[in-house]
Amino acid sequence: MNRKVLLVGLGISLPLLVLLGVAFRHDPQIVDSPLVGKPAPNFRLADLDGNIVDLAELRGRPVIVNFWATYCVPCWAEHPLLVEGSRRWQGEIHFLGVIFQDDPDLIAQFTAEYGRWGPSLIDEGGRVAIAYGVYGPPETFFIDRDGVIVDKAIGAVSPDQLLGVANRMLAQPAAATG
Amino acid sequence: MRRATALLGLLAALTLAASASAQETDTPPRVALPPAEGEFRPGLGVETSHELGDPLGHPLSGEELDRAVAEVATDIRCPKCQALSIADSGAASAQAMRAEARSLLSQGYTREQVVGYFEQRYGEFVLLEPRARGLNLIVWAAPAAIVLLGGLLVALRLRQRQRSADESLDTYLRQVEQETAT
Amino acid sequence: MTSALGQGFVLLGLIAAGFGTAFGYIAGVRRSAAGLRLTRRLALLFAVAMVGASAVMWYALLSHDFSVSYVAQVGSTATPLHITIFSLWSSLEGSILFWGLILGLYIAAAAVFQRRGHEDYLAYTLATLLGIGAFFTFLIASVADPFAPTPPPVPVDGPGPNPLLQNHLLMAVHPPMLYLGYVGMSVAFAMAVAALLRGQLGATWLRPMRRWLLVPTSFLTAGIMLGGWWSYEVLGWGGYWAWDPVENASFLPWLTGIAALHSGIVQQRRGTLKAWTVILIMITFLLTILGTFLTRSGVVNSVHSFTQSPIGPVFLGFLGLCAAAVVVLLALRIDTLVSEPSNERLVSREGAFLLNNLLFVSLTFTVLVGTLYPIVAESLRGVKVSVGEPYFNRMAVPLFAALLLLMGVGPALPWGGSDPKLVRRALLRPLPAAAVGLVVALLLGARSAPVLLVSAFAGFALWVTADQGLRPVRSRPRREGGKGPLAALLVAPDRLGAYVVHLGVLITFVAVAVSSTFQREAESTLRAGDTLRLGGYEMTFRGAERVQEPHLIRHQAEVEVMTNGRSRGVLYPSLNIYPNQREPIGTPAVRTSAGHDLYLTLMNVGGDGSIGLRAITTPLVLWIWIGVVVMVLGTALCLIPTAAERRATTPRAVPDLAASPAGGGR
Repeated sequence: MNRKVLLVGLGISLPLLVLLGVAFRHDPQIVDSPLVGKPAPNFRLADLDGNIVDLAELRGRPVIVNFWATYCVPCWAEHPLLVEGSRRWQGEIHFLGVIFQDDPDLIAQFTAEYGRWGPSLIDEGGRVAIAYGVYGPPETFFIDRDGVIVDKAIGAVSPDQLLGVANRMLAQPAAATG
Repeated sequence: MRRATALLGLLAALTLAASASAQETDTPPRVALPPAEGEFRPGLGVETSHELGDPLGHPLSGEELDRAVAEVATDIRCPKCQALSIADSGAASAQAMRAEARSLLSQGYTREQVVGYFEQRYGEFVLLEPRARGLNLIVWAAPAAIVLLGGLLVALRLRQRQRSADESLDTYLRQVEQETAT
Repeated sequence: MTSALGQGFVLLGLIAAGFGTAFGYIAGVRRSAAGLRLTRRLALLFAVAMVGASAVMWYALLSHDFSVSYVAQVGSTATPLHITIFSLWSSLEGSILFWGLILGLYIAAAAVFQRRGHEDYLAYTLATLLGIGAFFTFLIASVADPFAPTPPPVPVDGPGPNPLLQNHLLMAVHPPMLYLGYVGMSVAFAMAVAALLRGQLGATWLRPMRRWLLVPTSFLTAGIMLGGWWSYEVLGWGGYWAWDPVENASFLPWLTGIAALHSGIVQQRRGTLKAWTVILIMITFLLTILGTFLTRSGVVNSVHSFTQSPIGPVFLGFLGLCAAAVVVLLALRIDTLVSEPSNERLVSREGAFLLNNLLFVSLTFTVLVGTLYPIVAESLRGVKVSVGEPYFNRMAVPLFAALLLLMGVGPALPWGGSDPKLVRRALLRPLPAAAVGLVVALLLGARSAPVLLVSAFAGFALWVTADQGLRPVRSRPRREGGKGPLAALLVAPDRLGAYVVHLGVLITFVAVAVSSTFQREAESTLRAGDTLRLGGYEMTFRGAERVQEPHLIRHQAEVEVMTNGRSRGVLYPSLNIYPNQREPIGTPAVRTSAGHDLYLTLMNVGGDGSIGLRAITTPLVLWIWIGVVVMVLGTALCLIPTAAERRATTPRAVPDLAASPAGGGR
């Protein structure tokens, strides 16, 4: 029995195996955003009808910003939920859609057919998506009354997350001016 | 049973995706392309200045700007792709990020500021080269360590081999001497 | 019906492999000839079962039998015939079955080609191989069952294979080559296990073992090259190697395999480094399993990885089992492989081989650390990080440059290297060639120190390679009348082959260095009639058209290429849109010449008929592939039996003295 070989072999292979085992717990596709807990970048964008939306002017009410596109399958999946949510919290929470690399005409067709839950904003050059560090649609940012990003969903947002975070944001007292 | 339903769901999703995107593919992939500089409609866009701070460099243009964009772009991972940088990728996100880098560099932000901006937005994941600090030092120090350790082992082996070879030569010479002496 | 037949073959393979493993080890311990015969039959049965299972799957694919789940997953009636054939390896379950097929063929080859003269080793070898086979058939029969019946309702059509795999015919050859490389490492591994179990590794077993290592290494070389070529021709980013985790996974066993081939030379010549060669072969095998695990389990972010699947944990278990077995086996038996005493100096051929191994192992380690670090960071810091091209280039390029230097210095040095005068002369003679390399680089416009250094190293190495490779011609006995230079070279084809491989490495090395240093690109949005200029090329966009094909829609741009006002032809870069994929996939158009490539990619197609066009000129790309072809040809030369071997055609007749030159039975 060659002890040296045994120890070196185990010393290299055991940690490696443990490491690979641990790796299963992580999804390589999901990257946590560094923006949660930070102020949401302000943007001024036009929607499909040319109306200008300025995020800073919405301060005082929670905002849900969703980056989406018609080609993305999870976006369809979460669409009814967002429609439902925008009805339920009408006048309490702003729902904003930012178009992620898609044709505005297709977006218009889609919302005409399946309903809309908020303005669809045109992000020319994708600069807003970069400021929010969007990897791919859909991504949903929850912004509280003070303009701070409190949570983020990657992929289709779940009913539990939407309900939980929305209630949390609504429960928070309006500190800043409305 | 569970596997069967999962598979069914997958198939359903795939056919759904196939049928739905079939209509979309009739039009060319029209992607909102990054407009040339200064083409933004007045007042529209995103406010980035307070995240970036003041430009610390001088505004670049022409070839110098091209070079700076290329340098930044090779170090930033394209978020949509796998291992490619935004310099190499043709994905729309990569094009948008290159345009953003170009715009920032032409405003006088330094390369480090631009890279920092992307890192701040997307997280450390977008840096193709991990910053040499904290745990990341492993990835920088380990290769050097193995070269040194291996070199040491090779040196030890050579010394040991030489000594044993000398010894066997010595014994051989002594043998020869003895034999010739008799 | 088809499902049951396929599953039947897999089960047969599992049974053959299971019993074969047990019988093989027993036959090895008892040195029983009857046991070995039985093991050999089971090995052949295993191969038959794998061929049968694959044939059934191919039949199901070609007949669009969507009741087989794998066909429902990757098949489509719209997919062209040849792509349907390749779709056997286009997705997870099928690729494991394909793995099983290749393993079966290798096992059969080992059972047939190694049958004479190596009875003592063969039983252990086949047992080990069948053990690996048992694992893979177990996978196919359980978590990765491609034959599982599709749950009703059976679809009338499927989605077709991954569009990326449909885009280029190289996909037909790249995976099989890679698999031939990966799986083939098992044979050398099994032979090394046999040597350890026998407690003996002499020349008669080392020779075939090196050969069984050489063949898969060569396949791996070709596979990696074809992967790079595919990436270049299909992915449209103008490069061929991105240091993607899965590319790295195929690179790792290649590096250690080459290290083992080199240490094997020392062992052949000097009888030293026995244990080390065995260790390297074992590491190579473990790295192929690790690489497969990384590709199949979805723990790393990569273009090539298959999605997360239950196969991951099972594979990890197998990797753990193999690693444990290897470590314990090495610890128990390594001391039985005693090296012969020999003098070694740093400045000698032996010393060069030691440094070669040091560099290859360091490279392996660096690539491994870089590839796995994201997992470490996520586990310990909870943060996702990337380790990509800039890192690997910075770390690996110096090591490669050192290897290039060594490729020149090593073969120039004499074995033993005891005479300083001889050493000095050997190292001084190629210096003019190094100077020529330097001057050529300067004339071509290179100014950076690393590039100049690499050029000088390349000149040096080229001279030494040619000098050493042609030595038998110069030193052939003139009087033997009629023996031409070629015949002189073919006295020792393995020696010649080795230097041909080195020549190929040099070609590829220089081409990679030049192509990555002098790449230029331009990008612009063009309307019909607009021209993009790059390095003497004028590319005029003539117009784009939309082509509807059965399984895709293609937007194709017509670009006329001119130099000096003369037309050089028309290129058609295109964007393909597949129904089941959102991001359009570009197919670049490449104009290849001996000097450089012009590479056009369509970035996007605007609604108004304008296009985004990117043009890249890269020098010497063609020579990267040529270099690899030379390497593979060199390997083929190495496989020709040497004159000495040809004389001793019946190994049985030769007493097994060489197996333990320093006296038997140790």
